[in-house]
Amino acid sequence: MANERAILCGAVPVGSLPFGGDDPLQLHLWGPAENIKLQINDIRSHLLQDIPSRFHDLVEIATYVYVADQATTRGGDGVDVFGENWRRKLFFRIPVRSPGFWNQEEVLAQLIDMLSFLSEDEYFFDFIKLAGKPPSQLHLEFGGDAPEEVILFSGGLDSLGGAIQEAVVAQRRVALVTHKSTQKLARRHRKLEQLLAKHTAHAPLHIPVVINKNKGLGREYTQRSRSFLYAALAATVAEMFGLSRIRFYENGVVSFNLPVSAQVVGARATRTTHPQVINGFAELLSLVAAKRFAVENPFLWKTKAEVIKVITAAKCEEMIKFATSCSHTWEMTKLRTHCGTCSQCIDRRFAVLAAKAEAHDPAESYGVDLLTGERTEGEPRTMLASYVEMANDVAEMSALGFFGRYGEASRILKHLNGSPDTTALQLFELHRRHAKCVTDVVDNAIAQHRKAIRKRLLPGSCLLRLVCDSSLAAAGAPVSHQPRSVEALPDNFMRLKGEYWAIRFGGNEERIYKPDIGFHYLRVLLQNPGTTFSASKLDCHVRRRIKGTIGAALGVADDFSPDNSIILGDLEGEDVIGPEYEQSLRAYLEEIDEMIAAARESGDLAQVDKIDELEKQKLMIKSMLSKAKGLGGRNRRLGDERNKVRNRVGNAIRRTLKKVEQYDKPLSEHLQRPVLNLGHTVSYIPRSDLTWSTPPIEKT
Amino acid sequence: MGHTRLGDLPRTRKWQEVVGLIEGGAGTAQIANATITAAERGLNLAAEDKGLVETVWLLTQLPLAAKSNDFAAALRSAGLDVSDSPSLMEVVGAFSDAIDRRLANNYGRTDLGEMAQMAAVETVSKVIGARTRSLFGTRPDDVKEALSGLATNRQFSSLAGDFFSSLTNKCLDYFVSRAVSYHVGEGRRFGTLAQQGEFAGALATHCREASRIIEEFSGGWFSKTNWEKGGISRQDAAGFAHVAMRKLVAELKEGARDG
Repeated sequence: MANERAILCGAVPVGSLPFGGDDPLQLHLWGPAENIKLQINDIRSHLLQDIPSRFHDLVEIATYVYVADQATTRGGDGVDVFGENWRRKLFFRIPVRSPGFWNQEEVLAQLIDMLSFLSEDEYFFDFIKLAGKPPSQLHLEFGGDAPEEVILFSGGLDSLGGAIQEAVVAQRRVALVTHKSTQKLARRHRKLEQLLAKHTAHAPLHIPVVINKNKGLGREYTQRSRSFLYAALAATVAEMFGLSRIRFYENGVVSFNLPVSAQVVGARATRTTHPQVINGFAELLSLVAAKRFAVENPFLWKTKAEVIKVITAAKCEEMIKFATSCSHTWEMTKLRTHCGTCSQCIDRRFAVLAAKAEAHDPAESYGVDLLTGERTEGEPRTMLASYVEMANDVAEMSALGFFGRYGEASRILKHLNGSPDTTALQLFELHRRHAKCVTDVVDNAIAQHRKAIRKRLLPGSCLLRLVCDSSLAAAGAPVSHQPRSVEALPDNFMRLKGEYWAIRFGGNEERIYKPDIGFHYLRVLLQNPGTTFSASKLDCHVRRRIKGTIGAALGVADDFSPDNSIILGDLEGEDVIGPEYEQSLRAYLEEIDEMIAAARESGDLAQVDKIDELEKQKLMIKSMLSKAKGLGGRNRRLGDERNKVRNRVGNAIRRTLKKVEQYDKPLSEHLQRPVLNLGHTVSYIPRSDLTWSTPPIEKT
Repeated sequence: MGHTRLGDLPRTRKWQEVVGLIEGGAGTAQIANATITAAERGLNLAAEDKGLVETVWLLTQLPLAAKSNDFAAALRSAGLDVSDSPSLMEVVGAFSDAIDRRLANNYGRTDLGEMAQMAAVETVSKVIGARTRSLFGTRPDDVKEALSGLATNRQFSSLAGDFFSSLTNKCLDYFVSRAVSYHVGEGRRFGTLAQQGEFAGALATHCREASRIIEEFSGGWFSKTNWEKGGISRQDAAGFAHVAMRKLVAELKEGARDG
């Protein structure tokens, strides 16, 4: 079933819903059931100017969409079925002041086009007349001179660069609209405000926006629709100042956001300021404002390093350390303002190093150092690896290679001013410049840390070790991603590779199998062609060998001997553990006790490990002896026990054969009756000239 | 503002099998087999995937449009919004936009369809770009000539092979990339990023080899269908896509078992 949700906003009637009627989401911006609070500056406290009704509607629509986006899960990765729940089907019923306008085909189409590209969901809207006014109208309070430009200001490096470009370099009066997503950033934002004011004759007007919602409404972290809300807020501010333009400042590489990994499909890479989205905003805002309304990104053809150069060229480098790029704000502390592992932190630090601005961006403020910090397994390491690999690839690519690899670029070609060819060339050059920045930073760092790399002093998971492994470099080891060279190994072998089994048959490529006891049984059979075993003998031998040290201590050879019948009796009705074997086990138990006592008496600390090992052996033997006794201490007989073992061995080998069948057809066909026989007795009887290499299993 | 998050493979047994094979050092053929087996449920839906069908249909329309007297008009009638003198980059952009328009409001869009769309534009860029010797500033006549060259039995086979090879590689990497990076670093399967990159290259080569099976029948299908029906419909394309995906899945599973 599709991931569907109906969203009822404000006091709208439920009526008939196209889908999601069982559990509609109720959102309220005001009234007794209020569960979202939208605050822009000092709204509701001072009345200066009423917001035009269409823009008021726009802000409320954007707020409802933004909150519903967070309240409706995308169902996790849904990898099995190609992310089928990633794309949701959302129906909104929203009360507005101008339903006639919002229900117009052109307006609806524009709204849906823009949103569906932005968040990759399927949208349906039903706008109805707002009945009853909110307790207070939405107002904006502004003082001082009217700004000449309204820009979105997140407090990150790109938007800071934009604010500097406008307010410091061009000395223009600007309004900075900021979404305050967390109070943690308040101090740093205030500091940026002060510093910006210090560098310009016209202190920017700051318009903070706060959106509070009930806790239960925050279920989905992706928030793909957030830039619609930011654009709606900024456009409303611009409209009230009589302006017809807003500006996002975002470097082009992030705006285009080409996928860093094959798993990043469609809007998994955010499209927050993608040219199609920016155009969509402009089209919609033009309809709302009933005039041409522009939305621009002046940094579209800049890399992040180039944005930092704008900041340093304007002598505003002291602001860099107060700009916050990290998306893991929950990890933020006063000293560690950046986690160092999220995509934004990686991007920022590379750009800072490439722009040679590290003196203004203290390394201590990062939780993990970009180049030499240890990366934990999982997303931190994957993200860095993907980011650097993409740069490595692009740095060496021709234009043909670039467009033959990044199909997502095709979604940009016809959505910018200028011919598709010009756009394509600019796009390619932008990414080449960015890739060069990244690879230069890595190359310089390798040169700087070459001694530490050679001596392997850096953590094994840090970037410099990941790109330049000293052990391989020293050994000159060949790198292969196919199994070992087929010439170097026997035609038929079965061996353990770490904890995995590697099997090669008939000179074909070796296959790898996950650990399963069935492979141990199979190995013994392949080692002893033509020999018939009872299942219990085979089982006992394999289990003893897996346990390792016990068998060695009892003097049982690693190679199986069919005559070694002391392990389990051959005849039904025998004891599970025969008297001789029981005697030898008990004697060995006494020996162990003596060895432990002697080790303890020696008082030698080095004996601690030995004592632990002996204690383990003792427990194991006691367990074997205990299992061999039934009620009242009577010896257990082999009858039922033997059947259980026979089934266990047979099932394990069949399970193994099923895996072999999936991956290795020739071997699977070979291991059929009469070559491999499973039953009361087990045997492997190949043609006479077929031999297997089964290197001994190392005891670990 | 833009950011990216990466995910892991599910913790189900079939996907952990893939993870285990990567960790254990299995070859690309075996990993591809395990991945395809784990993803079979999703791949079985390929024939109904609107994005994949539209993409395959549009791929068939490019060489046919180039054969017509009015190249630009023929492209427009296939849904590509192009000028009267389209360059290669204009065709590539219009190709992608046409699929987006067909799946307006994301109706019928899936990750598989999305990967097909990207694989197609990448293939067209590579194949036609190689023929026009440049991507930028191409003349409409050169683009027309390069595309019309694909209308032969042999050349369409090659185009279809390239497309399905790229799509298969994207599909496999869509899953495998979630696990590979866990095995990078000292003492892991991939000691360095370079080794990880080489593994990705080997996987691409394997996909290229597996997709030869598509080349064997696609040219014949294209010529025969176009000749007999006087064109290729979306329904024809859906049937072709269904057979192609079924053959590819079987090849990736059976081929890997054979030797």
